[in-house]
Amino acid sequence: MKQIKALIIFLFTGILLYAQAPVDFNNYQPLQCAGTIPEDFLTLSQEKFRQDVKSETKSSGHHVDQSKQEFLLKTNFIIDELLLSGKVLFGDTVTAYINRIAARVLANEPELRSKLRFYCLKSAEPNAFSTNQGIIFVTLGLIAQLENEAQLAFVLSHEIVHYEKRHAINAYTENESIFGNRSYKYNSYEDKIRMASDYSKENELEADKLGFERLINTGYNCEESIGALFVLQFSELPFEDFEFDVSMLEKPFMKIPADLVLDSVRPIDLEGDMEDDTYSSHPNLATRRKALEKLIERSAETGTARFIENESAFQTIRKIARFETVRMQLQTRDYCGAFYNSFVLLIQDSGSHYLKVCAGKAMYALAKYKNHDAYSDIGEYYGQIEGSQQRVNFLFQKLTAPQLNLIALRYLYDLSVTDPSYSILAMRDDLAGEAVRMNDARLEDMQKSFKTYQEAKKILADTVKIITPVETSQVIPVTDSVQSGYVSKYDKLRQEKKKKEITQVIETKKADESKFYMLAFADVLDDAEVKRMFEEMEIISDKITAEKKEEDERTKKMSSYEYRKIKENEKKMKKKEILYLGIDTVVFVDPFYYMVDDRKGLQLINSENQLLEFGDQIISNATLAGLDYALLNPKAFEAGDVDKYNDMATINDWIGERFEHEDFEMIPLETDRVLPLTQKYNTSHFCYTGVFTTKQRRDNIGGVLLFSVLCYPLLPLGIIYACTPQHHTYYYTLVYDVATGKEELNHTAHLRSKSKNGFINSLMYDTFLQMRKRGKAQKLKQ
Amino acid sequence: MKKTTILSFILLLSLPAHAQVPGYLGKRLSMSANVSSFLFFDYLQADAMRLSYKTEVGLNYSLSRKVDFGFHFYTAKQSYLMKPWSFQSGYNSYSPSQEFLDCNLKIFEFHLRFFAKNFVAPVGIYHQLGIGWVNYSVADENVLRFQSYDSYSYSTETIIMKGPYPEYSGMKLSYHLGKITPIGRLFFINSAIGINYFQSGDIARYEMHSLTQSSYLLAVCNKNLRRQNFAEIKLGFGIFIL
Repeated sequence: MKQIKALIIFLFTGILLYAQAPVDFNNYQPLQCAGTIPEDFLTLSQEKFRQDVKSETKSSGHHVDQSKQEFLLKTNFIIDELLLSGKVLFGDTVTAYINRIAARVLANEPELRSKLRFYCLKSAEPNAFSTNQGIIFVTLGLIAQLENEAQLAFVLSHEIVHYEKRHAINAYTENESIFGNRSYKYNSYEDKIRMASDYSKENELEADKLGFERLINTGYNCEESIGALFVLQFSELPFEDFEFDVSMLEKPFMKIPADLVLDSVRPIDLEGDMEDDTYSSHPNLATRRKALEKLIERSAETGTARFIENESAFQTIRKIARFETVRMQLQTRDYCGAFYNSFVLLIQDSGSHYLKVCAGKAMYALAKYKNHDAYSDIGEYYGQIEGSQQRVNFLFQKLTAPQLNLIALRYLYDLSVTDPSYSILAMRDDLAGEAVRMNDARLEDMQKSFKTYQEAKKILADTVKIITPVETSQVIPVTDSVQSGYVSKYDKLRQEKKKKEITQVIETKKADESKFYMLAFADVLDDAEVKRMFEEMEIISDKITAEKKEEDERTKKMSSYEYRKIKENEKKMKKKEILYLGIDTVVFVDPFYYMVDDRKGLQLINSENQLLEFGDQIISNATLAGLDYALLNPKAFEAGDVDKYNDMATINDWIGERFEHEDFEMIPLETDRVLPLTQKYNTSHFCYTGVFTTKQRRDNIGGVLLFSVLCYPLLPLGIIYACTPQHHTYYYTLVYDVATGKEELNHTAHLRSKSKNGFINSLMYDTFLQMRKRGKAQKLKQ
Repeated sequence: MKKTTILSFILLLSLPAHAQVPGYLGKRLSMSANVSSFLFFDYLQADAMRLSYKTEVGLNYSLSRKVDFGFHFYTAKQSYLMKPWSFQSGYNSYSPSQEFLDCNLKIFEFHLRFFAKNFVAPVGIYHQLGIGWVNYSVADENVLRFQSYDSYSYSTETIIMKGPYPEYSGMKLSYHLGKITPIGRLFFINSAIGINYFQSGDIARYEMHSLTQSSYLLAVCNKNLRRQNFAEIKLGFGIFIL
């Protein structure tokens, strides 16, 4: 017994030690789920829907009406989609912390606590929301902005009221009655929106009020409820407002010219809480704040604690959330925001390699978008930015493609010296290639620029040395004549000459400033690695140019017919080669199956059932086609599959980002997180496959019927045409090589037919066979 | 027959030898049995509508991702309506004493199926082009009686015909639009609509100025064969073998 006790104590201590293990922010690793997968993730959506209908019937004592059933069905499926997307965290430190605070808020309500589940959502948007099913989500973006535990407690308390008062389902039924009820028939659409919005705002104010009242009993400082609203008001701003220091990007010989640095920034608008909320679902923040102030005035006891759990624990959790938010900003292409937030966090954690990499990734992406004339897709216009971040947006907007390319390349080069990991090197080499190919930044030119710079510097120094005595003649006497106050004609001429020289040098320097970026590598031009990097890229670039030139000359000599024929053959060959990928192992991620009926809408339950079958089809067809495979199907996960869930989340993040860069080839910024998976699954090929089916009314029924009446033998066919719906089935397969970021296969088959399993099997087997078989190119490689 | 075989081989050779052939889950050879039927208008018999009927067995083999090759054998016992027949430039006419003539029909057909966009052979929507050899003859058990009437001499004669009857043959071309829907991993349903064109074959014989008994039979059979089998709706069941 003693031994068992000792073992339990040992294990418990181990758990505590593990839970309190300090986070290494220098080598920060992104959050991952841990433990076992909660039941919320494992139960089928249709099962949850049935349970909800049953409990709703039990609680109301009568049959659940159609509108409520629809709400329960839709919400269960939508929430499950979110839960299984990999965006929701469980068992991690932040979720555990949220749950601890929630336990404090609900300390006196154990029954309510048992009904609620709290999860952390991987999103940079500051938000929290509750569902009718008792799940409350808090985003990492919100945690990153909160100032203390009491504010988080208020947010949770507010969301708990939404669940308790069934605001979600009531709002849905209210909206249904407003927009669908005959009694509101004569109201304008605007009136209807206002009515729905008023109802929603009432709910929000009720949640504030009751949330506040619940907070009173917890010991937390209730005045922090107002603080939480302030946090929301400024949540779109970066974590802190520190003046951006461009020296972060400067190098010994490369200084950012002054015209690229904004003198003053747009001040932060402090009055943005009175926006018109007539058609909004939430009251404006000023209204909410006033209501809370009244409650504080009326309350005899408002609590004093800003922290009950632990202040340092909160600071750690918030820092984790901030580190995560930077990564999520990169995923959502907010590169300037991610760069500025990395800068802000680096002030405190200057040794954090993670943040340096994030800043490097942001610069890599900005440079790529600039090089490919797509900067307007990602860069928010600097004039709209408030606070110090405006300097960052201004700088990146004003930098030209060659300038940004070389600055970013230098930053990545420095990173690669300390961290020569695959993704850093890949990004570095990619930018080096574009610097040479697209921006003419050759090693020789850089060396010349440096030489010119040094000469100019020397002339400037000499000139200043000579001219200074002339200009400051009153202080430092040079000649006797000067000393005596007399300036000879020759002295005047000499002075004029020196003035001219210095003006010339200054003018030359100004002109050279536009080429300041050519000095980005000036201090490391002799490094073997720099030489190798540029020389390699120059060889490739020259080869491409020569090939293009040769091709141009060849096509000039050809007739248009010959040219067309050659192009057609090339196209055919390419098409054939695409057919054979020569992949032995593949990981199928998050299969997809959706059925839409034109009249009935999304067929959620059928889709889920089909999805389960689709998973089985993938397994059997992959086996039949001789593919080694792994399947990450969230609908088939079991409690112990937390590793699979994490892998799926990682690869989903990667693909989510990959989809954003469709216009040009770019190494996804999440590549470093995906690479360990390639070793784990012994492949770098990840496949997304799915089916989308629609059932809709046929087109031009009248015309077909009329024609068949006129040609009466065709009448039976006409009737069949008119009476049967048109089915469309889309089966798609996307295969990516995550190491290179390349799309290896993008195939969509459109069948004008029902999505029979047999057809899907046929297409799937064919696609898998194409993936596995080797084409001529692969055979030659072997 | 030789022509058909040669044509089939040419078609076969023209297909790319190195094509990737997935078949249906790896199975490229299938066997099927179908029945074909269609409503036709027998205007000779008081505007009556009747149904034609044929049975068919066949083998199909996937040559590429898009093309299937098959050999099918059709058989049917069709009853052809007999009507008085008068020779166009003469005075003789024949009046059969029975209404219907039972005829045996055999068709040997080779076809190529071209699968529609995005379908992979051997399943899905297909366009089938067929070339076949038709063999038809009056069933031997038929005993036929005709009343021959010569309008010039007003003489009548009763003719009795007994089997075995001569066999006739001709070429058949066909086009079908069909769909093969798999059921599970082994079976499939085949459905199609199609049109058939029958070459005149032995028809030249009854274009001669004198109508013999056998050319009379040929005329009845050939005409009815075309009418009854011009179009067909096919429904069948099959199995993927290898």
